[in-house]
Amino acid sequence: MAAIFVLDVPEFRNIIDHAQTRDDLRVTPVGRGYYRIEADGDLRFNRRELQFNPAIWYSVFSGGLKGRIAEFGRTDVVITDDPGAAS
Amino acid sequence: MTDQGRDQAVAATLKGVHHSARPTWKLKETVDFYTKVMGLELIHAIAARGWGDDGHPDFIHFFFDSGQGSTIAFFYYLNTPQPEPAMATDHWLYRSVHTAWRVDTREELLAWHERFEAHGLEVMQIRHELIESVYVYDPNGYFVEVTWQVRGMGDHDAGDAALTLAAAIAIEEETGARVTSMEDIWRRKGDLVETHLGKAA
Repeated sequence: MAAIFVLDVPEFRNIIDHAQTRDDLRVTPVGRGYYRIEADGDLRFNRRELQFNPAIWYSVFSGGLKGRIAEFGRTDVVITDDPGAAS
Repeated sequence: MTDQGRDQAVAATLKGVHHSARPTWKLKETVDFYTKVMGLELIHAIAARGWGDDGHPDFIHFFFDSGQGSTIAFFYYLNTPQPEPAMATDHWLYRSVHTAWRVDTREELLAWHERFEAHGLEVMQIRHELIESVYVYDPNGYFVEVTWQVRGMGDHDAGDAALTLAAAIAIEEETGARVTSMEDIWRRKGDLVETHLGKAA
C-alpha cells in the first residue's frame, strides 16, 4: 500500500483537500497534525490539480512516505507500493 | 557567584540579531548601497589598529541600522588583498550563506521590490513554504534577502522538523556517510511518523 503523511499546515492543505475529493484515495487524520493519504494501488498526484508552486511541489513528501517513488517530474508524481516493506 | 550559580540565576536565551558581519573590499560602494539603495542609517564605525591575533590588520568596522536593534556590519581590512573567491558569487552554494531581513507584511515586501528596481537592481522574488522573499546582490556580491513570514510556526511544525532531522541523522549513522537520496529521507520519515503516532509499522 502506497501512502504519504501530510502535515496539516496551510501550504500543504491543497493536497489534503484534493485527496478528499478522490474516490481512489483514503484520507485519515492520524494525530500530531498529520493526515495519512493512501491508495490501494499507485498514489498519483498532478501539480496543476494541487495548484502547488515549485517550492511546495518539490517538498510535497516532506511529511514522509510509505512506498517507492516511481516518477517525480515537474507535473506528475507516482508512488508505488513497496512489496518489501510493511505498510 | 560561581559560574554554576550564575547559570541558574539567568537563563542563556537569545533575543534576536545584534549584527551580521562580512568583509568588504568595496568601501564606498558598500556605504552607498546600504545608505542610498537600502536607505539605512550608518550608526557606528570604529577605526582601529590591528590587535588580538598575530598579524591582524588595521581595520574599519562599521554598522548600518537594520531595525529592531539589529545592524548590518562590515569589516574593511587595510593592506589585505581580497582572496580569490572559491566559486562564482551567483552559484547556489555561495548564495546559501546569507542573511534574510524581516518585514511584517507582503505590502512591505513589495515596497522593497519596487525600491530595488527603482535603483536599477535585478530583483528575484520567490514564494517559499513559510516565507516570501525578494533578493538582490549588494556591491560585494553578497546575497541580500528581504523576507515576509506568511504564518507563525507552531508545535506541529517543531514536531515535524524533529522527525525530519531524526530521519536524516539515522541514515547517516547507519551508513556512516552523508545522505545521498531524498527518497531515503522521506521513506525513513514515514516510518518515524508511524512510530511517533503509535501505529505499528
